[in-house]
Amino acid sequence: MLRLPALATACVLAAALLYWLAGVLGAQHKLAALEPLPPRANYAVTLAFPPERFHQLRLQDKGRVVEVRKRTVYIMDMSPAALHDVAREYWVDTIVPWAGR
Amino acid sequence: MSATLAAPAPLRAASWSRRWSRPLKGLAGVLLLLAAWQVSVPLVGMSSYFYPSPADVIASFTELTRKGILPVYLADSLLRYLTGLTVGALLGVGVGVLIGLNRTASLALSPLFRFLFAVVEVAWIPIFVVWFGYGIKTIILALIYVVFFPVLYNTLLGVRTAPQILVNAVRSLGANRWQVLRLVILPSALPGIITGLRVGAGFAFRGLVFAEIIAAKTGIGYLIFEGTQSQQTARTIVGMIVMGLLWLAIDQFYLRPIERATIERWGLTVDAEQRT
Amino acid sequence: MSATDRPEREYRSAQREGKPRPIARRHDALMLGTVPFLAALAVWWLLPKIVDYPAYMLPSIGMVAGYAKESVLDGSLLRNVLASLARLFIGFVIGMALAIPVGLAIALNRHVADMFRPVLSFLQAIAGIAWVPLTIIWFGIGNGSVIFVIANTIFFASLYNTVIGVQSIPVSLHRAVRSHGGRGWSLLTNLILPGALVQILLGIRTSMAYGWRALVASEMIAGSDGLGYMTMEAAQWQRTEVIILGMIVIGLIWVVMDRTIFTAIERRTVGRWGLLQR
Repeated sequence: MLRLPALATACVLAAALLYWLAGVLGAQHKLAALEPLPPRANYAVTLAFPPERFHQLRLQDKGRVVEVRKRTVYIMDMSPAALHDVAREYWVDTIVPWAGR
Repeated sequence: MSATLAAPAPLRAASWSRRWSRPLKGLAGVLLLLAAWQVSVPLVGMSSYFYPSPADVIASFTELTRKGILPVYLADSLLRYLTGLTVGALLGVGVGVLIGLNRTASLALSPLFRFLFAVVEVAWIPIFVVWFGYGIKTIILALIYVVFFPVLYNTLLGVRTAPQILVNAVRSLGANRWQVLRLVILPSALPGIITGLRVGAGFAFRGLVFAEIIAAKTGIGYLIFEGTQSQQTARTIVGMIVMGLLWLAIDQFYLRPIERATIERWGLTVDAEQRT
Repeated sequence: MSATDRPEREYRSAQREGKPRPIARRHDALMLGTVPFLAALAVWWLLPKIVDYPAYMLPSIGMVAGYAKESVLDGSLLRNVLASLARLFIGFVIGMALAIPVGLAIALNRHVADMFRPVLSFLQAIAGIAWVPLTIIWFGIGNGSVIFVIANTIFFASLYNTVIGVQSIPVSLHRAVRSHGGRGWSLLTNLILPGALVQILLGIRTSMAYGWRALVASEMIAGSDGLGYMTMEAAQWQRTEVIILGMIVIGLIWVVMDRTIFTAIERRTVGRWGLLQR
């Protein structure tokens, strides 16, 4: 009787877990070239498309967004934790270090 | 009528078509609607800002998923919904039991609750906005409020209709207050509680979308609203479709099974569907 | 709630059991019921004197009463109430006018029912407020949008009841009418409509409940006047006394509607025909 709710919950949780795992793997891939991560650094985050307000709002929490040019967002003063958060998002294509301004 | 008796047609074929004819007809209905929609687009002849086509909507759906917007909005809405539902339900059941156990209290407080319920939950949004501003606090508080009253009502009803005979019987066997509660009152109130939860879940879902339209920056309700603000009406329709599917999922996978489980178990033949 | 109806029985059973009489008379229960209201009013009156907080958080009773007087005297409250009620009525009529034929079609023809039930269940899931942004684009801010949303809500709420109403007509009645030669149109008017009427009327209460919420909510977002608009607009100016008055009026109107219209309908139709257990 209560099987259906339990099954549905299990599916939802499994999907969430898979989403998170995929993000973590993707992050490892994107950040591989950047290791080791300095405590504070600037990065140019390139998306697969021009960022919308949604993406800018999310990136603003992670560091100081300085400029948005075409598909790339330039962020300064990102901590490694924030960088990992950004890298986990699947709409982030590449992350390269940036000289800053 | 032939002279010889023909062998009866294999039963399997007949039952197969009977089993599948209903869902297929339903699917046909959906496809018919979609086709009518697609056909009406050139007839209406307006831009996709005014009247998006199914193709626009599908494209928008793919775009929203590709850009990671839809999953986040969906998760945010679900989180708010579950939080509001859980807290509201716990409060409703708790207060309902407490009040229900005391006769005077329930008589005294019923009219007040009745009036508060008459002040429809949507009417509380403006004052919540004044008190808590725009944002997640207001949304969750509105949800808690929306869930609290139906659950409270029905819990109260369930507790007060606990058969006195059973209470007396259990008491005469030496049960203390907690045992009376656990063994008699709560089980007999359970169908009422579940009913309240079902009503509350429905109100909360609509309340969620409404609150998100007014006070949120993410979420499905916000998506519905923002699509029209940013000239991307196809996104609004994506939001509406997601909302519909989400509610159907909640209803089919959670609300109905739970209600069927408890009400069937306690042998009450109440029509579950009528309480939407 | 039936809490006030059971007192008589419990009173007598308490007598039999020799327990002390509960305060169970209807009269006493009513008086008891006013206590929380008075208590709430007392707290409201005392609070500003004890705790210090800005007036916009919780205006004093005086401020609310003052605004109430002002808005009644200059007619703005009445105008808003009437505007809201008018929209509710129009939306209700449109919604019912569509729900009954569609409901009949679904209930009477199994193919139509099978085809459209999934679609309609889905649309029912989004009925109401979710349409507001779309209606703003289609009809702009104002009457059109609000009435559309109300009609939409009431349509889906009543549709279900119409279908149930038709389906609950006893088959024996069907056979009886048919055996007297009733077909088609006369079957419809002599059997189906009256038979389903009870359920439809009963369902009006629920659909109005949803409709009323849809009214207030859509006025808040897409209205240009009315109770919902008045209440939400005040939030932007932090004129909380208007909000509180709006909330009280909204509550009172629903209580009045519920008590007068719906119980009257129930008593006259269902109570008379004995289908309701009271």
